[in-house]
Amino acid sequence: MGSLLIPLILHTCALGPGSGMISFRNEVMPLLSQGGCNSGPCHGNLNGKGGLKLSLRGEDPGLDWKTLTHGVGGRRVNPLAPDESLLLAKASGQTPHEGAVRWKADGYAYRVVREWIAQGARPDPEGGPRVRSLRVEPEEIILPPAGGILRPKVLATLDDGRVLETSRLATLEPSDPGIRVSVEGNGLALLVPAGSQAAILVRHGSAQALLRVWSSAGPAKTPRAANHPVDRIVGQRLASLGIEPAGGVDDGHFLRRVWLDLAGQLPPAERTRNFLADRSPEKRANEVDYLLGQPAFADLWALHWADLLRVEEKTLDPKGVRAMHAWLRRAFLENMPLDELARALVTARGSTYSHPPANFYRALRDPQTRAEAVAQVFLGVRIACARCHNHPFDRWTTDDYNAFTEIFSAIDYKVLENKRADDLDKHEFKGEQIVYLRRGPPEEPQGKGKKAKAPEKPITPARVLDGPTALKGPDTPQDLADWMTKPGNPFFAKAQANRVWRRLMGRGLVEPEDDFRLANPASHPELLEHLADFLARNRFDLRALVRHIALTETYARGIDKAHATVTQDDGMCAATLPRPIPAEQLLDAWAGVLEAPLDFSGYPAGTRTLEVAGIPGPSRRRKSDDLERFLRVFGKPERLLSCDCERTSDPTLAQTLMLVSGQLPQRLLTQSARLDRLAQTAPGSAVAELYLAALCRKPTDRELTDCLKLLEGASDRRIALEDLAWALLGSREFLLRW
Amino acid sequence: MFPLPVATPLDRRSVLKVGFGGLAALAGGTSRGAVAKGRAKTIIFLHQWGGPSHHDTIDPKPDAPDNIRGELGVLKTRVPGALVSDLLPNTSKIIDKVCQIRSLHHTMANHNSAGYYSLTGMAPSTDDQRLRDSRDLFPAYGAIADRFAPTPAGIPGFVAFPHTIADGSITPGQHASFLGKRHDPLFVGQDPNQAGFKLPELALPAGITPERLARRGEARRIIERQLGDLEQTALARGLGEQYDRAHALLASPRVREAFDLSREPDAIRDRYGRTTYGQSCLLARRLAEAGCRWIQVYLHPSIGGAKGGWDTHGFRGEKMYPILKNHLLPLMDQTLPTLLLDLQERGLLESTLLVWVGEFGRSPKINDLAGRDHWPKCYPALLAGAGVKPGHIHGRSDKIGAYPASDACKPEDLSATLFHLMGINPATEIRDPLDRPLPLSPGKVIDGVLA
Repeated sequence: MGSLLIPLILHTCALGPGSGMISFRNEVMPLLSQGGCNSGPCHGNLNGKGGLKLSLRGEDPGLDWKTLTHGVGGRRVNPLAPDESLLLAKASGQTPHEGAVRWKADGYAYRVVREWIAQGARPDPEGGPRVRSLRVEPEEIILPPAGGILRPKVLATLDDGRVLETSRLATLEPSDPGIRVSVEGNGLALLVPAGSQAAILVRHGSAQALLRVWSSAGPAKTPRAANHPVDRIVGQRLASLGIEPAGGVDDGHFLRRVWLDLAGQLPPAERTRNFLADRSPEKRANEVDYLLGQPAFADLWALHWADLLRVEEKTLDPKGVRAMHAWLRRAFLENMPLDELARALVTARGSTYSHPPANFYRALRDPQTRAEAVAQVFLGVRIACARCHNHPFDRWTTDDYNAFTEIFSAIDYKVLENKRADDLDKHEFKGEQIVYLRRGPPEEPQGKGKKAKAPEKPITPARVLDGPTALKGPDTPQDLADWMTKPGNPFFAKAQANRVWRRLMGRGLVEPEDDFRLANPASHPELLEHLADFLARNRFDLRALVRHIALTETYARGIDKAHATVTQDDGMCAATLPRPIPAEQLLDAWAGVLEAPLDFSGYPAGTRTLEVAGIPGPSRRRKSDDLERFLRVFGKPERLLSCDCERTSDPTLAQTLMLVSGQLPQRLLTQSARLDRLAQTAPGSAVAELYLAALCRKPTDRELTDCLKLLEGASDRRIALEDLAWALLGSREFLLRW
Repeated sequence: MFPLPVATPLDRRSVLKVGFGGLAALAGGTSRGAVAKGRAKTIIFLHQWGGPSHHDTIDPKPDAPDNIRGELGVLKTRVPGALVSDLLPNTSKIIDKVCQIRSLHHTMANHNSAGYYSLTGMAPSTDDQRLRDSRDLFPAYGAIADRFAPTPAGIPGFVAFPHTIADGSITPGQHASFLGKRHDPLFVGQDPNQAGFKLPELALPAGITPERLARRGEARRIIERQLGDLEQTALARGLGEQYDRAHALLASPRVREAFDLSREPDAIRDRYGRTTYGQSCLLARRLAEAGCRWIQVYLHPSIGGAKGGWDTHGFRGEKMYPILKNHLLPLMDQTLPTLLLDLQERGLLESTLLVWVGEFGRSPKINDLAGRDHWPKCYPALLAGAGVKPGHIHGRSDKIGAYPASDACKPEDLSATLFHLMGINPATEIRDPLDRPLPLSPGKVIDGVLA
């Protein structure tokens, strides 16, 4: 083994505390991470595994050193007989190990750790070298269609300025579980399968770098000429990967798509007919402009934001839900810039009835929830993990978390009254509340038996994410709003631009849209920059950005054979991403095509689902009506999370059962005014009308023939039309936006 | 009838979310194997809402002082050392077929937090009565069973009835949460004890005759023929598959008939008792016969009261012993033994596991209102059937039933055991909405109960 040690020590001495010394922090710890030893399912688990608990992903080297050197009577490391150390015996499988063999007995990791033990298993001295930053070469690579093997080179910059290759010590974490990491002589190799578009997080201690891998579909092509910057960026990526994008959709298809995306409803049959007949080259742009001017555009965005801001009845009460929703709707009707919207919400104070944005803080009832929601909704960052421990997949520490949370600690509210129906239900509030900024420490809870609490741990001064210095206060929410909306803020514009892109394209450039972090990069970083920049330059004008995106070729792509069978959401934007029509739009589409009434209790007749402020949550005290049940079955969120992920879109059995045997769809069919009318017209035009209203297209010749046969064979025309309409409104072509 | 593939068409993201193999497989799979063949094809989970008193049911302490022993006597059983309350004569006769765990414990003293724990095997972050049912909380057992041990088309994997349980707000853990609505239970909110009980989802709306149904099918085919390239997308295929499942379910006499309790002889219906809970237990047996994977029966929607669940503090003048004598113990003694013996007589106990457990036990000491308070520090569960030792007691409570005296287990250990018995590796990783990796169960399989 002696001769093998020479290159090892040459390689590592620079990281160690002295000549020939192995560093616990810089070498042993990274190898524990690389072996997966301190991962969540193994010893990094909250309860450890098999009696050994390490800090999660090595966040606490000091503690781990103690655990390894002092635990179980010192048997884990034995400097006198290093090979008998439990650490080595377990990891190399010489002693039974539930986690299998992690290090080969004569492998690199084993030798480094053995050497460290033999040297006395010492901790790093104060002032020893530390890894400051990490670089990986290459940072980005395009692989041939079959995939391939990559041997990335990892370079660490130490705090004394030296740069060392540390490829053999790094941990590589691919975003695609299909990519395998294997250990080779002096480094690590990545085995990338065909079709993988992945980001690989490279870690060494707390330093991180990112390697992006793109699999091409074939030889690079010349990018097609494009006038629109979005198309240019998307086109360049597609060309470099040799991907031929799908062709554009026809006019009817485009119309259906743009109406659903911009107005949340299907175009009236008459409008479709006119649009199809229109010969103007500007007609798509004209239609987009028309829709941007419709109140339904505001309805759609008010609904989206009401979802994100937890506008639900139990906490806000029905009056608060109406007030908050009306405020949001007006904001979008008046095209309130998104930065102003954010500022109004974050700095909201006063009565939740007379100053509706105050409901933002009524819904988020403690500083932690507020901090997590603000980070997620406005900044696109998920910090919840850092509530309990340093974020394992991001850079946020508990200190960052506490400092950000402190911004909201002075926000308090007075419950003027609470006429809740259910005394046992502590979530329920009914009555006015006043949100205000408290001066001084929180009031002690009144009442007997409650002792005055001793001051808790010292308070971390309020600080924004990524902010080096404490906010000046005392109005820290105001400081936050100033920082968030200042030009050049690293989060806000990107997070909002990404959200808008996702609404139109079905997938965020960063996806999930509120999870920006190094290991989850944008599919097109340059495009994200462009959109964020566009948004900021246009004074955060939502309509301008929607228009900018809706008029691209990228938005108007269809699906074709080449793209249908491959994974659809690889983020390359080569084809449209089909998705289920959201619950509210689906219900409105049914009611709209059939011309059948929806009766929302408490709303005037003729109210569309999209205009409803909110529906009551599930409760034992009252039975949901069939409209509420329909909406819930199709994924309307309960608005208890600050995340669009609460809206579910996966097709379920309950949905198809609802369509096949549900009472509501049948009732709408029975009450359909359109079917009443069509029953009196010629069958051919009835069929054409239904197709146009539901699918924005004419029936094909064969469809027409078959449908006519179906109608003619029936004794009751109205009933037969009902069955045809049922089939149209339950067809996949109808249920999906694509 | 054709079996669904284990992974129904998933988009790429879902595939990433479910960590196949990888570290998860290393973490717990090596010793027992990642894809063990499950013994339990079906689990019937009888949830005892409110928290049953172990002292007054299956873990009596006849030698303890009066204020702990309570006023009930005990009966011997065929299992040495296993006593039961003297108001459970039928139960005493089946104890030799049951595997008892008498050493469950945790720290959640509120119904909703403990209830969620008992329904998911996942400890809530705080012991909060206000724990709110949202999609970031863990999915119900049955949803996991439906996801990882799917049933053939036409057979629902997860069925739950006849109540939604709540303490003030609805108790979390009764649906699929972040696993996706496709794994939500087929929920029966009707009372199986009512005449004309049926499942609305399985009944066509009035006026939809077989002829009309056929015409609708024909119309659907006409339109779907034009689907073109969309047909090839994972989403469209997934949706089509759910249509097929709905039609299969509607067309399947097996499931519809399972829900038709009127097919059952009166003598059998009477044996289970003409109560909502009794007929629910009978329905559970019929659904086990039909091949459902996870059947969850809730005792009562409310924690307590004269005719409610097991929460017998003695509040509001509702004394514990009268409620136990007149309502809870007779109900238990009529249903549990009947269901177990019925399953056995039909040869279903080989492949069906029966589980009886609440969210906690009740205090050893009888309180000032002659009731017992919440006690999560030690409480029992009963298992019977597929894969577990009959006539066995795993873990003992101490002399007064206050703490485990041996082999202490937690709800997550029970969940790991149940998954293991179904052939699902408890270490399989899933991702919550924040993309945090979580094992299906963080507990350890309780080897001591395995047959």
